[in-house]
Amino acid sequence: MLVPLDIGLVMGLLLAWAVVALALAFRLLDFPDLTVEGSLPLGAAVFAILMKSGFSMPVAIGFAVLSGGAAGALTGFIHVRFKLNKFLSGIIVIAIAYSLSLRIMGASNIGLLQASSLFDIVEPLNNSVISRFHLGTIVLLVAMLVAGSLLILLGLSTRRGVRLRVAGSNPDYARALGINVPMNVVTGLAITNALAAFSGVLLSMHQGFADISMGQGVLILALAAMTIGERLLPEKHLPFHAFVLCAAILGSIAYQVLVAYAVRAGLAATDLKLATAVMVLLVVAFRVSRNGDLLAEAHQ
Amino acid sequence: MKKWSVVAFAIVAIAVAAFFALRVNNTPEGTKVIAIANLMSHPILDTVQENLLAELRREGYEDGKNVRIILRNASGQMQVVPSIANELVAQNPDVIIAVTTPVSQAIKKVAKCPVVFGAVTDPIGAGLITSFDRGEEMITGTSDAVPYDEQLRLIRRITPNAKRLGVLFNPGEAASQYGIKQLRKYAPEIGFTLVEGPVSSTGDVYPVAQELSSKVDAILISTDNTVAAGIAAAVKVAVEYKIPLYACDSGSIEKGALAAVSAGYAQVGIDTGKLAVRVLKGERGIPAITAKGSELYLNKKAAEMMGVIIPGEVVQDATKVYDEIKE
Repeated sequence: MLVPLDIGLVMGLLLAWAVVALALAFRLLDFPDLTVEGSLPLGAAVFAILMKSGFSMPVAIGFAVLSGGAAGALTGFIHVRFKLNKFLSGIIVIAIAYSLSLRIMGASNIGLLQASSLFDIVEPLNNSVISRFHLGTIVLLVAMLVAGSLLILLGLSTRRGVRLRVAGSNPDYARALGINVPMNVVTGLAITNALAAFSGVLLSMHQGFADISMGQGVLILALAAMTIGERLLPEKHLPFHAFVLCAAILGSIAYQVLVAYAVRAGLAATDLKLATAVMVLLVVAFRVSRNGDLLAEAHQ
Repeated sequence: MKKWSVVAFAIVAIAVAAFFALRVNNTPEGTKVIAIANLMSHPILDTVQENLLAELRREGYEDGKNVRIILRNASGQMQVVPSIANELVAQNPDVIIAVTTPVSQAIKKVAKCPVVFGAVTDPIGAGLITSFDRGEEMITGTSDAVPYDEQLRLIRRITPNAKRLGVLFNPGEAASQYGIKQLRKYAPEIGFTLVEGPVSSTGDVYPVAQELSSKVDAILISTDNTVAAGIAAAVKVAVEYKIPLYACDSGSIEKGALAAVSAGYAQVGIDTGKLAVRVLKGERGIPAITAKGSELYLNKKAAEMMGVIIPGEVVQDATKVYDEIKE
């Protein structure tokens, strides 16, 4: 009965980047960023077409991550420049990213079954150690996440990073300090959506295709994962930004493990979503009963 | 207090796991296991799955009797597709039947057993197979691509004197890109000169159709969501200029195109089931096929309004004849 655990771990680690992207925007920049739904498939689309056109993998990954960053920057720009509501800015960019992805791919789906991927390196490990666990894939994904998380935490601890956090948590105070708040919003969203695009790249590598509808549902999934993570992780021992990051990763894994068990149960198409929703509610209920206030407010 | 939530969560997780562990039925030794993965539940895919299961039953493969059939459906969530693929592979089935393009790709990526795909429009483009002529060891399946050659022959039968054929399509759609390539291949064989009318949005349908109508003897709509959404505009132009308007799917015929040959999805399911049975019996290297279940749809009212007389023998061959144009 460990198979769903293995599947959930892998999927959770793949999607963790997108959950981290949403959580950082939500909690640190105070920006409910819907753009992930567009930047994730955009990253996958750019990666797929570059791989298909014979570019090397690092180049393809690089451009894919950049394209996600550009989408995020655009959302930030629309919001600060045209004073458009945060949600609407995101929705507009999702629409742009969808058409752009279609245009870039030239089709709604690109197969990557013969293309090389990062996971080729660890394939031998997958078939040896423990028969059923994809140990190689898991180790590689964990290593990447740890490296990425350390980079993010380091970045947030620098002067610039602290300014970014101040601009997010208290814009008025930041302005009084002479911090360029709009610039920080644009930069912050560019970084988070670059992470979401990287999730798209990893997903398309793992599943062997990029598809225009890859982004649909990511937003809901990331929100649910973020919520679970924040309820599961004790927040006392960590600085807030580290807590947000770790909670997102933990939540992503927990959520995907739940989904994998729901899939294993062989639920009908109609019930799968309900089952995951109920499981999320169960987890959330444990914490709400203790204190009714949201975590974000508890930290001000 | 936090500990409690973690403990409670763990208890729930373990309880859930235990529940499913107990549910796993230990099938007797030698029972074949058939896994079926589908992307979502909508009329077309349901038709494919039902007919596939019916075909397996006809061949004596019935769930719970002599085989175990595992059904999985991603309920339209693309992020669940890889989970389903891995989960099915872990159950060591004798064959995995994958319906739709993304599901087939995800299954092929991880499968250790033979795979039979179904309802994939362009399996070569999707990277599942390299050709329709040669079979491959571990994968075969059915394509639901429109039989464009038969479609062109139908146009020839109904309007024998047509020379120049206009095509309305959106180059941004995968199915249409495939379709236009097929049409370019078959048109010269059947004696048509193609005039391409690309549209990029539904709003383009009317002006582009009007433009085409001055240059062609008949217009064909490829399997295209963009044009299908603007079909009323195309019908309006066809009626106005008395140009026969053909399509490739039954839905467009109902809405006022005059004739189409369409792969019946019931047949796609049956053919997929037949392939799965052959694989279960140990056959390998079966070439993939395009579903041959061509159904003929006609719309008498549309023909009348476009000034076309449909020959009697074509009407006799029709699967379904519509007498009304549905607005």
